[in-house]
Amino acid sequence: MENIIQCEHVTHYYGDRLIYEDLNFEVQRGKILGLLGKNGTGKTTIINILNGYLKPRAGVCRLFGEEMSRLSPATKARVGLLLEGHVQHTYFNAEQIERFYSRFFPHWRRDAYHALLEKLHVAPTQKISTMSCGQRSQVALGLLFAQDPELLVLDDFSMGLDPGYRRLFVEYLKEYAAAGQKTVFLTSHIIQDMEMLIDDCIILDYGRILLHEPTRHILDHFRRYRFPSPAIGEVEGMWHAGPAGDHWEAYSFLPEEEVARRLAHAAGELTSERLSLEDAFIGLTGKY
Amino acid sequence: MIQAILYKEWIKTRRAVLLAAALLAGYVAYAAIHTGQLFRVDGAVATWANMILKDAFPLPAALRWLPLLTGVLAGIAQFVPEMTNKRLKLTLHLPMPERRVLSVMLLYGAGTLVALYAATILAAWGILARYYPAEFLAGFLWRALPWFVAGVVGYLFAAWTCVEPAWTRRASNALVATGALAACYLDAPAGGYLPMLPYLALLTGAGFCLPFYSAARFKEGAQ
Repeated sequence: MENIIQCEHVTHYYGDRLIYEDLNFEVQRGKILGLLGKNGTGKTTIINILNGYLKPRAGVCRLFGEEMSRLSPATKARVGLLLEGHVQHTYFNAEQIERFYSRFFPHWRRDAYHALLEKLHVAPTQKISTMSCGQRSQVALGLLFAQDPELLVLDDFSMGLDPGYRRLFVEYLKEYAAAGQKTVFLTSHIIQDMEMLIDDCIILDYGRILLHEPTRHILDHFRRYRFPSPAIGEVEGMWHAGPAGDHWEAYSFLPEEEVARRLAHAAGELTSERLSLEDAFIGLTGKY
Repeated sequence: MIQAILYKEWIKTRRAVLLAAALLAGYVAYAAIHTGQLFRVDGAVATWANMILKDAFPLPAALRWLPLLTGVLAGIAQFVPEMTNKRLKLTLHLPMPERRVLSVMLLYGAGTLVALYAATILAAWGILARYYPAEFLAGFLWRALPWFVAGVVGYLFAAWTCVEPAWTRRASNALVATGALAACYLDAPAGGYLPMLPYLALLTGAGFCLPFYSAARFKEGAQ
Protein backbone atom coordinates (compact mmCIF):
# COMPACT_ATOMS: atom_id res chain seq x y z
CA MET A 1 0.00 0.00 0.00
CA GLU A 2 1.17 3.54 -0.78
CA ASN A 3 3.02 5.40 1.96
CA ILE A 4 1.55 8.86 2.39
CA ILE A 5 3.94 9.89 5.16
CA GLN A 6 7.50 8.66 5.53
CA CYS A 7 9.98 9.77 8.14
CA GLU A 8 13.50 8.38 7.91
CA HIS A 9 16.28 8.67 10.46
CA VAL A 10 14.97 11.92 11.94
CA THR A 11 17.14 13.28 14.71
CA HIS A 12 16.39 16.57 16.36
CA TYR A 13 17.66 18.61 19.27
CA TYR A 14 16.50 21.86 20.85
CA GLY A 15 19.86 23.26 21.91
CA ASP A 16 21.50 20.37 23.73
CA ARG A 17 18.23 18.63 24.55
CA LEU A 18 17.61 15.53 22.48
CA ILE A 19 14.07 15.29 21.13
CA TYR A 20 14.47 12.25 18.86
CA GLU A 21 17.28 10.07 17.72
CA ASP A 22 16.88 8.14 14.47
CA LEU A 23 13.09 8.30 14.33
CA ASN A 24 11.56 6.16 11.57
CA PHE A 25 7.93 5.59 10.72
CA GLU A 26 5.49 5.44 7.83
CA VAL A 27 1.77 6.03 7.45
CA GLN A 28 -0.07 4.18 4.71
CA ARG A 29 -2.94 5.50 2.66
CA GLY A 30 -6.32 5.17 4.37
CA LYS A 31 -4.92 4.83 7.88
CA ILE A 32 -5.70 7.01 10.88
CA LEU A 33 -2.55 7.21 12.95
CA GLY A 34 -2.44 8.75 16.40
CA LEU A 35 0.76 10.07 17.86
CA LEU A 36 0.70 9.82 21.63
CA GLY A 37 3.27 11.00 24.09
CA LYS A 38 3.69 12.89 27.31
CA ASN A 39 4.30 16.62 27.29
CA GLY A 40 7.67 17.47 25.81
CA THR A 41 8.17 14.26 23.85
CA GLY A 42 8.01 16.16 20.56
CA LYS A 43 4.55 15.53 19.11
CA THR A 44 4.15 19.07 17.77
CA THR A 45 7.79 19.01 16.72
CA ILE A 46 7.21 16.07 14.40
CA ILE A 47 4.18 17.82 12.90
CA ASN A 48 6.30 20.90 12.30
CA ILE A 49 9.00 18.78 10.69
CA LEU A 50 6.45 16.95 8.53
CA ASN A 51 5.04 20.18 7.15
CA GLY A 52 8.42 21.77 6.56
CA TYR A 53 8.26 24.25 9.45
CA LEU A 54 11.27 22.89 11.26
CA LYS A 55 14.52 21.60 9.87
CA PRO A 56 15.65 18.55 11.83
CA ARG A 57 19.31 18.11 12.62
CA ALA A 58 19.31 14.95 10.50
CA GLY A 59 16.90 12.83 8.52
CA VAL A 60 14.08 13.49 6.13
CA CYS A 61 10.28 13.30 6.04
CA ARG A 62 8.22 12.96 2.89
CA LEU A 63 4.55 13.67 2.21
CA PHE A 64 3.23 11.99 -0.93
CA GLY A 65 6.87 11.27 -1.79
CA GLU A 66 7.95 14.93 -1.66
CA GLU A 67 10.58 16.13 0.75
CA MET A 68 9.09 18.20 3.56
CA SER A 69 11.12 21.34 2.98
CA ARG A 70 10.17 21.50 -0.69
CA LEU A 71 6.48 20.64 -0.82
CA SER A 72 4.96 21.73 -4.11
CA PRO A 73 1.71 23.74 -4.17
CA ALA A 74 -0.05 20.70 -5.65
CA THR A 75 1.01 18.56 -2.69
CA LYS A 76 0.07 21.25 -0.19
CA ALA A 77 -3.41 21.26 -1.71
CA ARG A 78 -3.64 17.56 -0.80
CA VAL A 79 -2.76 18.19 2.85
CA GLY A 80 -5.18 19.71 5.37
CA LEU A 81 -3.32 21.18 8.32
CA LEU A 82 -4.81 21.94 11.73
CA LEU A 83 -2.43 23.83 14.01
CA GLU A 84 -2.40 23.36 17.78
CA GLY A 85 -5.17 25.45 19.38
CA HIS A 86 -7.24 25.55 16.16
CA VAL A 87 -5.27 28.59 15.09
CA GLN A 88 -6.87 30.47 12.22
CA HIS A 89 -6.84 33.96 10.77
CA THR A 90 -8.96 35.57 13.47
CA TYR A 91 -9.43 38.90 11.67
CA PHE A 92 -11.87 37.17 9.30
CA ASN A 93 -15.46 36.38 10.08
CA ALA A 94 -16.90 32.93 9.36
CA GLU A 95 -18.06 33.87 5.87
CA GLN A 96 -14.94 35.77 4.86
CA ILE A 97 -12.56 32.96 5.79
CA GLU A 98 -14.56 30.50 3.67
CA ARG A 99 -14.45 32.93 0.75
CA PHE A 100 -10.70 33.30 1.19
CA TYR A 101 -9.83 29.60 1.28
CA SER A 102 -12.29 28.60 -1.45
CA ARG A 103 -10.15 30.34 -4.08
CA PHE A 104 -7.24 27.97 -3.49
CA PHE A 105 -8.90 24.59 -3.84
CA PRO A 106 -10.61 23.45 -7.04
CA HIS A 107 -12.86 20.88 -5.33
CA TRP A 108 -13.97 23.19 -2.53
CA ARG A 109 -17.12 21.88 -0.77
CA ARG A 110 -18.82 25.03 0.40
CA ASP A 111 -21.85 23.12 1.62
CA ALA A 112 -19.80 20.98 4.00
CA TYR A 113 -18.48 24.10 5.70
CA HIS A 114 -21.82 25.87 5.98
CA ALA A 115 -23.62 22.74 7.17
CA LEU A 116 -21.21 22.47 10.08
CA LEU A 117 -21.56 26.15 11.00
CA GLU A 118 -25.34 25.96 10.83
CA LYS A 119 -25.36 22.96 13.09
CA LEU A 120 -23.43 24.91 15.70
CA HIS A 121 -25.38 28.14 15.27
CA VAL A 122 -22.36 30.14 14.17
CA ALA A 123 -23.54 33.27 12.36
CA PRO A 124 -21.74 33.87 9.03
CA THR A 125 -20.84 37.38 10.14
CA GLN A 126 -19.42 36.32 13.50
CA LYS A 127 -15.77 37.24 13.79
CA ILE A 128 -13.45 34.35 14.53
CA SER A 129 -11.69 36.36 17.23
CA THR A 130 -14.97 36.52 19.20
CA MET A 131 -15.71 32.79 18.94
CA SER A 132 -15.33 30.29 21.74
CA CYS A 133 -12.63 27.66 21.43
CA GLY A 134 -15.29 25.11 20.46
CA GLN A 135 -16.76 27.29 17.74
CA ARG A 136 -13.30 28.07 16.42
CA SER A 137 -12.54 24.37 16.28
CA GLN A 138 -15.63 23.82 14.15
CA VAL A 139 -14.65 26.60 11.78
CA ALA A 140 -11.23 24.98 11.41
CA LEU A 141 -12.79 21.55 10.94
CA GLY A 142 -15.34 22.90 8.46
CA LEU A 143 -12.57 24.49 6.41
CA LEU A 144 -10.67 21.20 6.36
CA PHE A 145 -13.74 19.26 5.23
CA ALA A 146 -14.49 21.84 2.56
CA GLN A 147 -10.92 21.54 1.31
CA ASP A 148 -11.43 17.76 1.14
CA PRO A 149 -7.72 16.88 1.40
CA GLU A 150 -6.32 13.37 1.01
CA LEU A 151 -4.23 13.75 4.15
CA LEU A 152 -5.26 15.49 7.36
CA VAL A 153 -2.57 16.50 9.83
CA LEU A 154 -4.13 17.54 13.13
CA ASP A 155 -2.05 18.86 15.99
CA ASP A 156 -3.77 18.37 19.36
CA PHE A 157 -7.25 18.64 17.87
CA SER A 158 -8.99 18.21 21.24
CA MET A 159 -7.14 21.04 22.97
CA GLY A 160 -9.53 23.32 24.83
CA LEU A 161 -12.68 21.49 23.70
CA ASP A 162 -15.45 20.35 26.01
CA PRO A 163 -16.60 16.69 25.77
CA GLY A 164 -19.45 17.55 23.42
CA TYR A 165 -17.27 19.34 20.89
CA ARG A 166 -14.60 16.64 21.20
CA ARG A 167 -17.12 13.93 20.47
CA LEU A 168 -18.51 15.89 17.54
CA PHE A 169 -15.02 16.42 16.15
CA VAL A 170 -14.22 12.72 16.44
CA GLU A 171 -17.48 11.62 14.82
CA TYR A 172 -17.00 13.96 11.89
CA LEU A 173 -13.42 12.81 11.48
CA LYS A 174 -14.39 9.14 11.52
CA GLU A 175 -17.06 9.72 8.92
CA TYR A 176 -14.70 11.76 6.78
CA ALA A 177 -11.90 9.21 6.92
CA ALA A 178 -14.20 6.28 6.20
CA ALA A 179 -15.82 7.99 3.22
CA GLY A 180 -12.88 8.17 0.86
CA GLN A 181 -9.65 6.40 1.76
CA LYS A 182 -8.41 9.48 3.59
CA THR A 183 -5.27 9.39 5.68
CA VAL A 184 -5.20 11.14 9.05
CA PHE A 185 -2.18 11.85 11.23
CA LEU A 186 -3.11 13.35 14.57
CA THR A 187 -1.98 14.10 18.07
CA SER A 188 -4.10 14.65 21.14
CA HIS A 189 -3.75 14.67 24.89
CA ILE A 190 -7.21 13.16 25.29
CA ILE A 191 -6.46 9.53 24.63
CA GLN A 192 -10.02 8.30 25.14
CA ASP A 193 -10.95 10.23 21.98
CA MET A 194 -8.14 8.56 20.08
CA GLU A 195 -9.33 5.10 21.08
CA MET A 196 -12.56 5.63 19.14
CA LEU A 197 -10.73 6.92 16.11
CA ILE A 198 -7.27 5.65 15.33
CA ASP A 199 -6.19 2.51 13.49
CA ASP A 200 -2.53 2.72 14.41
CA CYS A 201 -0.76 4.22 17.33
CA ILE A 202 2.73 5.58 17.82
CA ILE A 203 3.70 6.16 21.42
CA LEU A 204 6.62 8.50 21.83
CA ASP A 205 8.96 8.40 24.75
CA TYR A 206 11.66 10.98 25.37
CA GLY A 207 13.99 10.66 22.38
CA ARG A 208 12.47 7.63 20.67
CA ILE A 209 9.41 5.70 19.54
CA LEU A 210 8.32 3.43 22.35
CA LEU A 211 5.74 1.56 20.35
CA HIS A 212 4.20 1.60 16.87
CA GLU A 213 1.36 -0.90 16.67
CA PRO A 214 -2.24 -1.16 15.50
CA THR A 215 -4.55 0.14 18.21
CA ARG A 216 -6.50 -3.12 18.14
CA HIS A 217 -3.33 -5.06 18.94
CA ILE A 218 -2.66 -2.89 21.98
CA LEU A 219 -6.23 -3.15 23.24
CA ASP A 220 -6.34 -6.92 22.71
CA HIS A 221 -2.97 -7.89 24.07
CA PHE A 222 -1.66 -5.30 26.48
CA ARG A 223 -2.77 -6.16 30.03
CA ARG A 224 -2.32 -4.97 33.56
CA TYR A 225 -1.31 -7.74 35.93
CA ARG A 226 -1.77 -7.53 39.69
CA PHE A 227 0.07 -9.84 42.01
CA PRO A 228 0.61 -10.07 45.74
CA SER A 229 4.37 -9.75 46.11
CA PRO A 230 6.96 -7.79 44.18
CA ALA A 231 8.72 -9.08 41.11
CA ILE A 232 12.36 -9.79 41.74
CA GLY A 233 14.34 -7.15 39.84
CA GLU A 234 13.71 -6.27 36.21
CA VAL A 235 11.60 -8.78 34.33
CA GLU A 236 11.86 -8.89 30.57
CA GLY A 237 8.59 -8.15 28.82
CA MET A 238 7.07 -6.44 31.86
CA TRP A 239 6.57 -2.68 31.99
CA HIS A 240 6.53 -0.36 34.98
CA ALA A 241 6.22 -2.87 37.80
CA GLY A 242 5.40 -1.09 41.05
CA PRO A 243 3.31 -1.16 44.21
CA ALA A 244 -0.40 -0.33 44.00
CA GLY A 245 -2.02 -0.45 47.42
CA ASP A 246 -1.43 -3.82 49.04
CA HIS A 247 -0.56 -5.42 45.71
CA TRP A 248 1.94 -4.93 42.95
CA GLU A 249 1.12 -4.33 39.37
CA ALA A 250 2.92 -4.49 36.05
CA TYR A 251 1.96 -4.23 32.39
CA SER A 252 2.75 -6.63 29.60
CA PHE A 253 1.90 -7.86 26.12
CA LEU A 254 2.69 -11.40 27.27
CA PRO A 255 -0.07 -13.97 27.92
CA GLU A 256 -1.00 -14.68 31.53
CA GLU A 257 0.79 -18.06 31.69
CA GLU A 258 4.01 -16.55 30.46
CA VAL A 259 3.76 -13.65 32.91
CA ALA A 260 3.17 -16.10 35.76
CA ARG A 261 6.21 -18.09 34.70
CA ARG A 262 8.45 -15.03 34.47
CA LEU A 263 7.28 -13.63 37.79
CA ALA A 264 7.64 -17.04 39.40
CA HIS A 265 4.09 -16.80 40.72
CA ALA A 266 1.30 -19.30 40.48
CA ALA A 267 -1.13 -18.28 37.75
CA GLY A 268 -3.90 -18.16 40.34
CA GLU A 269 -2.17 -15.38 42.24
CA LEU A 270 -2.23 -13.16 39.17
CA THR A 271 -5.17 -11.14 38.00
CA SER A 272 -5.11 -9.65 34.52
CA GLU A 273 -7.16 -6.72 33.25
CA ARG A 274 -7.98 -5.50 29.77
CA LEU A 275 -7.09 -1.86 29.37
CA SER A 276 -8.42 1.21 27.70
CA LEU A 277 -5.96 2.96 25.41
CA GLU A 278 -5.40 5.61 28.08
CA ASP A 279 -4.53 2.98 30.70
CA ALA A 280 -2.31 1.22 28.17
CA PHE A 281 -0.57 4.52 27.52
CA ILE A 282 0.06 4.99 31.24
CA GLY A 283 1.25 1.40 31.45
CA LEU A 284 3.71 1.93 28.64
CA THR A 285 5.02 5.36 29.54
CA GLY A 286 4.64 5.38 33.34
CA LYS A 287 2.62 7.80 35.40
CA TYR A 288 5.23 10.53 35.61
CA MET B 1 -5.31 33.04 -5.81
CA ILE B 2 -3.51 36.37 -5.87
CA GLN B 3 -6.88 38.08 -5.48
CA ALA B 4 -7.59 35.92 -2.44
CA ILE B 5 -4.28 36.94 -0.83
CA LEU B 6 -5.05 40.59 -1.54
CA TYR B 7 -8.50 40.10 0.01
CA LYS B 8 -6.94 38.60 3.15
CA GLU B 9 -4.44 41.43 3.43
CA TRP B 10 -7.17 44.01 3.01
CA ILE B 11 -9.40 42.46 5.66
CA LYS B 12 -6.42 42.27 8.02
CA THR B 13 -5.05 45.76 7.46
CA ARG B 14 -8.07 47.81 6.48
CA ARG B 15 -8.29 49.62 9.84
CA ALA B 16 -4.60 50.47 9.75
CA VAL B 17 -4.86 51.58 6.11
CA LEU B 18 -7.85 53.78 6.90
CA LEU B 19 -6.00 55.21 9.91
CA ALA B 20 -2.97 55.96 7.71
CA ALA B 21 -5.25 57.56 5.10
CA ALA B 22 -6.92 59.65 7.82
CA LEU B 23 -3.55 60.80 9.17
CA LEU B 24 -2.32 61.80 5.71
CA ALA B 25 -5.65 63.48 4.84
CA GLY B 26 -5.51 65.33 8.16
CA TYR B 27 -2.01 66.45 7.35
CA VAL B 28 -3.07 67.75 3.92
CA ALA B 29 -5.95 69.67 5.51
CA TYR B 30 -3.60 71.12 8.10
CA ALA B 31 -1.07 72.01 5.37
CA ALA B 32 -3.81 73.85 3.45
CA ILE B 33 -4.76 75.89 6.52
CA HIS B 34 -1.11 76.50 7.42
CA THR B 35 -0.20 77.73 3.90
CA GLY B 36 -3.24 79.99 3.67
CA GLN B 37 -2.44 81.45 7.09
CA LEU B 38 1.22 81.99 6.09
CA PHE B 39 0.21 84.01 3.06
CA ARG B 40 -2.45 85.97 4.94
CA VAL B 41 -0.26 86.85 7.93
CA ASP B 42 3.21 87.26 6.38
CA GLY B 43 2.09 88.19 2.86
CA ALA B 44 3.14 86.60 -0.43
CA VAL B 45 6.37 88.58 -0.83
CA ALA B 46 7.81 87.71 2.59
CA THR B 47 6.78 84.09 2.25
CA TRP B 48 8.28 83.74 -1.21
CA ALA B 49 11.47 85.48 -0.08
CA ASN B 50 11.69 83.08 2.84
CA MET B 51 11.37 80.11 0.48
CA ILE B 52 13.90 81.41 -2.04
CA LEU B 53 16.51 83.05 0.19
CA LYS B 54 16.37 80.81 3.24
CA ASP B 55 15.60 77.58 1.40
CA ALA B 56 12.61 77.01 3.71
CA PHE B 57 10.18 74.17 3.22
CA PRO B 58 6.59 75.29 2.65
CA LEU B 59 4.79 72.53 4.52
CA PRO B 60 4.54 71.73 8.26
CA ALA B 61 7.51 69.73 9.58
CA ALA B 62 5.41 66.65 10.43
CA LEU B 63 5.79 65.60 6.79
CA ARG B 64 9.29 64.35 7.61
CA TRP B 65 7.96 61.64 9.90
CA LEU B 66 4.40 60.99 8.82
CA PRO B 67 5.22 58.62 5.91
CA LEU B 68 7.60 56.63 8.12
CA LEU B 69 4.97 56.41 10.86
CA THR B 70 2.33 55.17 8.42
CA GLY B 71 4.78 52.73 6.81
CA VAL B 72 5.78 51.14 10.12
CA LEU B 73 2.12 51.07 11.17
CA ALA B 74 1.20 49.22 7.96
CA GLY B 75 4.05 46.74 8.44
CA ILE B 76 3.05 45.99 12.01
CA ALA B 77 -0.65 45.72 11.15
CA GLN B 78 0.10 43.30 8.34
CA PHE B 79 2.75 41.04 9.84
CA VAL B 80 2.18 40.95 13.60
CA PRO B 81 -1.10 38.99 13.09
CA GLU B 82 0.84 36.56 10.87
CA MET B 83 3.34 35.89 13.65
CA THR B 84 0.74 35.71 16.42
CA ASN B 85 0.32 31.99 17.15
CA LYS B 86 2.61 31.42 14.15
CA ARG B 87 -0.24 31.88 11.70
CA LEU B 88 2.35 32.38 9.00
CA LYS B 89 2.39 28.57 8.86
CA LEU B 90 -1.18 28.69 7.53
CA THR B 91 -0.24 31.31 4.98
CA LEU B 92 2.81 29.40 3.80
CA HIS B 93 0.76 26.20 3.64
CA LEU B 94 -1.48 27.69 0.94
CA PRO B 95 -1.14 25.85 -2.38
CA MET B 96 0.88 28.59 -4.00
CA PRO B 97 4.68 29.06 -4.21
CA GLU B 98 5.80 30.51 -0.89
CA ARG B 99 7.86 33.28 -2.46
CA ARG B 100 4.89 34.34 -4.53
CA VAL B 101 2.66 34.47 -1.45
CA LEU B 102 5.14 36.67 0.39
CA SER B 103 5.77 38.82 -2.70
CA VAL B 104 2.03 39.47 -3.09
CA MET B 105 1.77 40.39 0.59
CA LEU B 106 4.69 42.81 0.38
CA LEU B 107 3.52 44.31 -2.90
CA TYR B 108 0.08 44.82 -1.39
CA GLY B 109 1.56 46.74 1.53
CA ALA B 110 4.08 48.73 -0.50
CA GLY B 111 1.50 49.39 -3.24
CA THR B 112 -1.08 50.64 -0.74
CA LEU B 113 1.46 53.00 0.80
CA VAL B 114 2.60 54.30 -2.60
CA ALA B 115 -1.06 54.94 -3.51
CA LEU B 116 -1.65 56.80 -0.24
CA TYR B 117 1.55 58.83 -0.63
CA ALA B 118 0.75 59.62 -4.27
CA ALA B 119 -2.72 60.85 -3.25
CA THR B 120 -1.12 62.95 -0.49
CA ILE B 121 1.41 64.46 -2.88
CA LEU B 122 -1.27 65.19 -5.50
CA ALA B 123 -3.56 66.80 -2.94
CA ALA B 124 -0.71 68.88 -1.47
CA TRP B 125 0.40 69.87 -4.99
CA GLY B 126 -3.16 70.96 -5.82
CA ILE B 127 -3.31 73.15 -2.74
CA LEU B 128 0.20 74.61 -3.02
CA ALA B 129 -0.24 75.27 -6.76
CA ARG B 130 -2.54 78.15 -5.77
CA TYR B 131 0.40 79.83 -4.02
CA TYR B 132 3.62 78.65 -5.69
CA PRO B 133 4.80 78.14 -9.28
CA ALA B 134 5.38 74.63 -10.61
CA GLU B 135 9.20 75.01 -10.48
CA PHE B 136 9.00 75.64 -6.74
CA LEU B 137 6.70 72.71 -6.23
CA ALA B 138 8.96 70.34 -8.17
CA GLY B 139 11.84 71.38 -5.89
CA PHE B 140 9.71 70.80 -2.78
CA LEU B 141 8.72 67.39 -4.11
CA TRP B 142 12.35 66.33 -4.62
CA ARG B 143 13.08 67.37 -1.06
CA ALA B 144 10.15 65.44 0.35
CA LEU B 145 10.69 62.33 -1.77
CA PRO B 146 13.25 60.69 0.60
CA TRP B 147 10.69 60.95 3.43
CA PHE B 148 8.14 59.06 1.36
CA VAL B 149 10.82 56.53 0.41
CA ALA B 150 11.44 56.19 4.16
CA GLY B 151 7.76 55.27 4.55
CA VAL B 152 8.03 52.39 2.06
CA VAL B 153 11.43 51.25 3.35
CA GLY B 154 10.16 51.53 6.94
CA TYR B 155 7.25 49.28 5.98
CA LEU B 156 9.59 46.69 4.43
CA PHE B 157 11.94 46.81 7.42
CA ALA B 158 8.97 46.44 9.79
CA ALA B 159 7.92 43.35 7.80
CA TRP B 160 11.49 41.99 7.99
CA THR B 161 11.59 42.54 11.75
CA CYS B 162 8.13 41.09 12.42
CA VAL B 163 8.63 37.95 10.33
CA GLU B 164 11.98 37.21 11.98
CA PRO B 165 11.25 34.38 14.44
CA ALA B 166 13.95 35.07 17.08
CA TRP B 167 13.54 38.01 19.48
CA THR B 168 17.26 38.77 19.63
CA ARG B 169 17.41 39.01 15.86
CA ARG B 170 14.29 41.15 15.84
CA ALA B 171 16.08 43.64 18.07
CA SER B 172 19.17 43.66 15.85
CA ASN B 173 17.00 43.96 12.72
CA ALA B 174 15.26 46.99 14.26
CA LEU B 175 18.64 48.58 14.98
CA VAL B 176 19.91 47.96 11.44
CA ALA B 177 16.62 49.32 10.08
CA THR B 178 16.95 52.49 12.16
CA GLY B 179 20.49 53.03 10.91
CA ALA B 180 19.52 52.44 7.28
CA LEU B 181 16.51 54.74 7.52
CA ALA B 182 18.77 57.55 8.73
CA ALA B 183 19.93 57.76 5.09
CA CYS B 184 16.53 59.25 4.26
CA TYR B 185 16.83 62.01 6.87
CA LEU B 186 20.13 63.70 6.07
CA ASP B 187 19.87 67.49 6.10
CA ALA B 188 20.32 68.69 2.56
CA PRO B 189 19.49 71.86 0.66
CA ALA B 190 16.89 71.76 -2.11
CA GLY B 191 18.14 69.34 -4.78
CA GLY B 192 20.88 68.04 -2.51
CA TYR B 193 19.29 64.60 -2.31
CA LEU B 194 19.19 63.99 -6.05
CA PRO B 195 22.51 62.04 -6.18
CA MET B 196 21.23 59.87 -3.28
CA LEU B 197 18.09 58.71 -5.02
CA PRO B 198 19.68 55.66 -6.76
CA TYR B 199 20.99 54.55 -3.36
CA LEU B 200 17.54 54.97 -1.85
CA ALA B 201 16.19 52.81 -4.68
CA LEU B 202 18.80 50.17 -3.75
CA LEU B 203 17.77 50.46 -0.10
CA THR B 204 14.16 49.85 -1.12
CA GLY B 205 15.19 46.81 -3.17
CA ALA B 206 17.16 45.41 -0.22
CA GLY B 207 14.19 46.10 2.05
CA PHE B 208 11.99 44.03 -0.26
CA CYS B 209 14.38 41.05 -0.17
CA LEU B 210 15.00 40.91 3.58
CA PRO B 211 11.56 39.56 4.66
CA PHE B 212 12.22 36.50 2.47
CA TYR B 213 15.31 35.77 4.55
CA SER B 214 13.27 36.04 7.78
CA ALA B 215 10.59 33.78 6.28
CA ALA B 216 13.24 31.19 5.39
CA ARG B 217 14.48 31.30 9.00
CA PHE B 218 10.88 30.93 10.20
CA LYS B 219 10.49 27.84 8.02
CA GLU B 220 13.64 26.30 9.42
CA GLY B 221 12.25 26.77 12.91
CA ALA B 222 14.97 29.21 14.03
CA GLN B 223 14.47 30.30 17.63
